[in-house]
Amino acid sequence: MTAGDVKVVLAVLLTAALASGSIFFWKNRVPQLNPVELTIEVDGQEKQRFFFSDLEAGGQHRIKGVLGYSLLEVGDNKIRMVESPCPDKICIGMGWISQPGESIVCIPNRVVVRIVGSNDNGYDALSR
Amino acid sequence: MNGQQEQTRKLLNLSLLAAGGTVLHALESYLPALSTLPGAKLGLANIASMLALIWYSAGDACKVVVLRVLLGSLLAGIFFTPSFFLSVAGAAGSFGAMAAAIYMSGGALSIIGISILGAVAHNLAQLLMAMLLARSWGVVFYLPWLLLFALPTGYFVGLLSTLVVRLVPFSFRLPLITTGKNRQDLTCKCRICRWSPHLPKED
Repeated sequence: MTAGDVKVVLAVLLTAALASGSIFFWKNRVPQLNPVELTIEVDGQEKQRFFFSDLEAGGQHRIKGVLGYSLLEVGDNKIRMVESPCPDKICIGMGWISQPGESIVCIPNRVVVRIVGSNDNGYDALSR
Repeated sequence: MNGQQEQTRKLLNLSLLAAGGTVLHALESYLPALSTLPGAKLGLANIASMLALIWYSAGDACKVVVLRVLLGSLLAGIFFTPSFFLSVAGAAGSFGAMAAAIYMSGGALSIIGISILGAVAHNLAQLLMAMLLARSWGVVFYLPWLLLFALPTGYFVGLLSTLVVRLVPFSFRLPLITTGKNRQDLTCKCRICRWSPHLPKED
């Protein structure tokens, strides 16, 4: 490693730090570029559809499924299942979802909560 | 050696580099992803581009890069898929950066530094291509991680290239060295050799 190499490494580190700093700043300043929409399906049929901005953070939302009522908790641009009448509680274990394309699925209760948004790019994943 | 033989040897060496690069390129796409970051790869195939740049001209190295990307993608079965375009962007980016670094740094950088620059450019170009493919700015959040990731991978590839440059026999580079009209011109014209005292001085 020459002195020039060390300079290259330092420049890369500095750029990475600047980039992460500005991304952190930007993420905190601009909460959401596109309105993110939420759909709730029960037994394959869309029952409800709303924007995150219409929901208040910290609030709860009840949906009647096939087995009974599922309880959703709304966070800051994220949502999770907190109560469900299903036996296995997998839907609760899925935790918070916030990105377009993500979903919480409760098969026994036939409830699907899905985030759809205009920044959904249409790819499931990119492989390399 | 006469000019004809030199040309043949050069062609052979470049083909070997392209073949080696192709195998590394294909092998690497079979390896499991090192991380979930897009474009976070070891970049082993860059060794071939690097060696072609060191031993031959940027134009010759460019041919090696184009060949290895096309053939490597065909072998890995990703031809004309999104991964292929990511590959193309990455290879073009790293080649451009390494060529610029070799010809413009004037000896300030070792092979490792050049390789790190190549790895950084590889990741940046892939990120740009991913943005185009996904039509989304979202991937920009990977930028700091990709930059950091380029340091160890670039270092590793640079180290390997240095070892190869040291270990490959002097005769491998003969065409380059004897391109001069007279025997006085027996110094390797490539920039790296001019900077690296460890290379064989026999003629």
